[in-house]
Amino acid sequence: MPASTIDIDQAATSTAVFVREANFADYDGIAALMQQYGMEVYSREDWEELWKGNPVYAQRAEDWPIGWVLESRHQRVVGFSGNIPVACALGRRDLTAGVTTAWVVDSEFRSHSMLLASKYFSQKKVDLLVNTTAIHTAGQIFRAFHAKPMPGEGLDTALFWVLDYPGFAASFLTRKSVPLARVASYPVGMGLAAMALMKSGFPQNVSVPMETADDFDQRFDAFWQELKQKSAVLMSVRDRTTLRWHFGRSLRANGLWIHTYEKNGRLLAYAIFQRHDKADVGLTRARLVDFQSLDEDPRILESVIIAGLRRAKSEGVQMVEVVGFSGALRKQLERLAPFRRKLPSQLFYYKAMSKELKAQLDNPQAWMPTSYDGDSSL
Amino acid sequence: MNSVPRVPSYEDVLPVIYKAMDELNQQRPRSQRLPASPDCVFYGDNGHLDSLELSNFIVLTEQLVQETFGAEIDLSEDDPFSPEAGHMRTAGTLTSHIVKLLHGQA
Repeated sequence: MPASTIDIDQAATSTAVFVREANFADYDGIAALMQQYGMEVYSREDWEELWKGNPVYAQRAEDWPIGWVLESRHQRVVGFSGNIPVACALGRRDLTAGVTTAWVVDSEFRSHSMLLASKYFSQKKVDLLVNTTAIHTAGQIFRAFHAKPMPGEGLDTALFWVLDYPGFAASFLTRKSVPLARVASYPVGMGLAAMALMKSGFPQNVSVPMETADDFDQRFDAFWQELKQKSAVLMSVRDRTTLRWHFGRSLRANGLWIHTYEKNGRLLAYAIFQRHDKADVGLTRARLVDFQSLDEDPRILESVIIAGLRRAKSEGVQMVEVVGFSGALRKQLERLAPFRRKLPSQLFYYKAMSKELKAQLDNPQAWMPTSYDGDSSL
Repeated sequence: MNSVPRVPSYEDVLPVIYKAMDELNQQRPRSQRLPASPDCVFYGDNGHLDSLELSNFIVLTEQLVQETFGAEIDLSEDDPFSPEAGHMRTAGTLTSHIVKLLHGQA
C-alpha cells in the first residue's frame, strides 16, 4: 500500500503515539512486540497467509485493513490489532465478519490502546465483528463497544479427556510452579485416572465406521452446500477452499486430524482435531475444533471422539480438549468428557453492525460457536 | 397542558460524569484519584485511565445517564478515542458529547 494512502491520526497533544492502518511491511515490528509479550509468533509467510491466502481477502484486498498499528514517534511499533475477514452464512444470507487477532500493546503505551479498539469497531464494510479468544481485558473492551458475549451455556468452560495421567499431571503441576512436579505427578495422575473411571460412561468401541483424510477434498464442497441449506445457525463458511486456508498452517505442520463418516460415497459428517501443545509446561494437547454432521445419530459424535482419542493416544498426546458448541451437541459432549475446567474468561464475543442482524443474533438458537470460528484455530 | 421536558444541560450532566469518576476512584489509590474537573484527561498523553478502566468507565457512565435521564446512549460511537476530537478525552468533552446526544434524542 502506498504510504500516502495510509490513514494516520496524529496525537493532538504531542507526541507519543500514532495509529495507522497496518501493512505487511510491519511484520518485523509486530512479531518483535508479540515475542516480547510471550505470544505465539507466526513466521512471516504464515502471517501473510492469514490475508494473502484468505479467499475473502482475495476479493476485498482493496478496501480491507489487515489491522492497525500504534507507532511511537520513533516509528517503533508499540501496538497492533489484526483484522481478518471471514465469510459466514446465516440461513441464505452471506455475511462478512471482521475477526480480531493478535491484539498486543506495549505496557508503556497501554493508555493508548483504545485507539486500536476504536479503529476496529468503527469499520463500516463488515456485517459483524468477532472475537473468540478474548482475555478478560479484551472482553471488557468489547463490552464497552457494545459487543455481546455469544449466547450459549458452557462457553466459559472447556471439556477434556486425559490420556497420559502422569504426563498431564506433571505439566499441570509445572504450570502451577509446584516443586518436584515430575515426582508429584504420579500420585496426582493416579487420582485423576480413578476420577475419570468413576465419571465416564464412555462407550469403548466405535459404533459408526470412521475414516481419516489428509486434506479437504471436493466432498467438503458438497457437504458444505448441504449443511448450509440445513442449518439455521450462524456459521463460518466451511467449503474446501476456506477450510484449506483456515487450517493451512496446521496441515503444513502435520498438526491436523480429519475424521470423516461417509455412506455410499457421500460425506455425512466430519470432525477436525488440531494439535495445540503448550511447550513451556510440557503439555501435549489436541483440540476438537470442529464437528459437523448431516445425520443426527448421536453415535457419530461418540465414534468421532473415540477415533480422536485413539489417535491422540498413539501420538503421545496427554489430553484432548473441546471448547464451544451448544445445545444438544454440547450436552452430549458434557456427558462424554470426564473433566472440565473453567476458562479464565468468556472467550466468545460478537457485535452485529445492523439492527436487523442484531435482532437475529439476539436469539440463542442462532448460535453454535466452535473453535473453528474466529482465530483460535487459525 | 403538558409541559415540554427540559433537555439536560452541561451543568446537569457534569455531576453524573463526576459520579462515574468517583466510582472509579473507589478502586484507585488515593494518590491516583481522578480530580473532579472538566479538564481531567482520561486517555492518551497525560491520561489517567488504562484500557480496562476506560472500558469500565464507558459502561458505568452509560448506566448512570440512563438512570439519571432515562436515555439510552452509546458512547462507543463517533470515534470516541480520536486523538484530535475524541469525546472520551476529558470530563468536559465527554459531558458536551452526552449533552449533544441527549439533545438529539429530545
